[in-house]
Amino acid sequence: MHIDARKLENDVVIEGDICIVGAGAVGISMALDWINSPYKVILLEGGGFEYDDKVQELYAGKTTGQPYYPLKSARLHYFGGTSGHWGGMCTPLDPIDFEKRDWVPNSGWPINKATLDPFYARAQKKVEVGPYEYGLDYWQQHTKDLTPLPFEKEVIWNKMFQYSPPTRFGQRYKSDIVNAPNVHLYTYANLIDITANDNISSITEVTVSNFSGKKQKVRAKYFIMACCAIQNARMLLASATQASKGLGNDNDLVGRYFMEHLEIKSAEIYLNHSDPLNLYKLYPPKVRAELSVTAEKQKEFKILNGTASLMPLEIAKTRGSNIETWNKKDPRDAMKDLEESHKISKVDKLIMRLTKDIYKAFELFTRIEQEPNPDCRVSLDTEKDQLGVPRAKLNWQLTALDKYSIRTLYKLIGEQAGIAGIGRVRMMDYLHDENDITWPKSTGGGWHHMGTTRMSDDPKKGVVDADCKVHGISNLYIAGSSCFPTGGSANPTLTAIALSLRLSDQVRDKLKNNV
Amino acid sequence: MDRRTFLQISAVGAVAISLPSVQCNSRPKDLLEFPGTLSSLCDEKTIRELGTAYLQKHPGENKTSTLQGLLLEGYTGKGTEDVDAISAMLDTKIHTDFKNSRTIILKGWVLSVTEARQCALYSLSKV
Repeated sequence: MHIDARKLENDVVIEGDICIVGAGAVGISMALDWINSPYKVILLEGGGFEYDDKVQELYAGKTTGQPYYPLKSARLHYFGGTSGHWGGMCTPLDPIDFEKRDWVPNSGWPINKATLDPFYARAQKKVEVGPYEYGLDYWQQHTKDLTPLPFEKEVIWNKMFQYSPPTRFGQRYKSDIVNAPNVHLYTYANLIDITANDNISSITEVTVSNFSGKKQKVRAKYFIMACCAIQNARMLLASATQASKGLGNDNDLVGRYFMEHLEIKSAEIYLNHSDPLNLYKLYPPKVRAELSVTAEKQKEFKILNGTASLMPLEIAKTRGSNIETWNKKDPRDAMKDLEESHKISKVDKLIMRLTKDIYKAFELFTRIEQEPNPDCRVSLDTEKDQLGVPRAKLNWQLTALDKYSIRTLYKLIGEQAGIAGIGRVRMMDYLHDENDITWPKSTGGGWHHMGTTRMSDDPKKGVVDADCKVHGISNLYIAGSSCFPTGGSANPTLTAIALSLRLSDQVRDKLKNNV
Repeated sequence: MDRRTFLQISAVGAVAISLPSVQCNSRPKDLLEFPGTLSSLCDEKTIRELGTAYLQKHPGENKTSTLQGLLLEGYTGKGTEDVDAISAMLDTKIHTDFKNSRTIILKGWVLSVTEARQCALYSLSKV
């Protein structure tokens, strides 16, 4: 069922069993999971079914620290959310990502990979990829010519990725949601405030609004915030009428530990013999691999988890860095640039035809987790958006461990190339000096926002518990990547959906048991 | 074809991924200063620069005889004229270097210490 909140009267009270705030990949995945259940689901979306620049402007905010993309274009504010510009890469986190690693401050999840496995399998279906299989052996049996580089398995392994079409959740699932009798989708229903009971132990209602100037209240037994890492933190911080520091923020953790995946051109590998390296091809129909350091070597060298992807060097030279390519203030332009950079263009094809030995040199491109850092944070600006909510301010901070980890990744790959006798690796200028902890202008992220409401069993170390429930508030949950304590090297969408499906089950159990 | 495409394609014409301009005439002395794999991947100027960079980090080795001695260390062949034996010894040393992380990063290149010394020797002999 769909209701346009702009057409509702002022001060209408909407009631349901659960209220999901945000209809992106995570919010929609959860709502789909509740179709045909006996429960009334309220799904709130700030935008409509199409892009609306005035609504998108609500996501604008300031950035400080390491230069970052315009916040307005890093997330999409309409039904389907940021899946509208998703690249579609899917892979689970690695077991080590969940562990407390003594060399990675503030690492460790209160759950492990096995806990999430059944939910990953379910998430695979939502994003329309193949079976929950990420072993190279499996894919070699099903796909021709997936030969890995001859590196030592104890040092470097091939982390497999599956490609979603990519699923644009807004288009793909609109009719399922709109036609579901028990799911009540409200578009143009922007969250502007969260109200708790007197002792702030449970949420009583949330207030939504839009540019019509009217407001509505939504009451439910359980509230799940699925607005993305920046907006989840922003809305908790902005709901400060009852709790001066914001809801769930007794320990000053909301908004802290923001994480991205550092995505940056880092090195080149020059091969003795031409090899298309099909296993690593960037635009395959189904799967590809990236080079990753084994858990044992991560422990030995005390590094973060990251991967290196390969692209023929002459093609890679035609691509700017992410931070240059995705820096448009208008998300539609940024999206266009992103799509272009993900395609093999006519120029690419000509380059491939004309360049002698095109497959003898490859660019190595890093995706690596950031060290969880309390100073890397989302806070509130003094400036407010058009609905009167303080805008988000992001201070993106990187650490020496981040840089050391990238350099070590390529040192290990370089050594493996030497051992295998296949060629040599050359790191880019910014990695030459091991004592240099500065970052080049090309440093960017993957539009992967994580952290800000991190998960921990200890309220002093995390905003939500292992069930994604906000500490101290009995019926407020957070869904998605803002709950990640660490980012691993996996693109976050699949894990965010898996985690939200687990949350969905838990809330349903509570409703069933009338907890 | 638009101007941007034309420029990109024109640039491709100038692409040369490997510039194997260092030649070895198989004399043992030259063999020592000839980092085989590296020579097929980068040009002579780069080899020389890598050698210079190595010597800046290891000034104590800034002498032809010192580098020759280090490169031939552990050589148990019949004589210094045995090209095949020296070549095999160097290959083994380089492989062992990589295997044991006996590597050095020079101007971003991840090199075995042995091949870095070969570059250094080359840079000294070609001054």
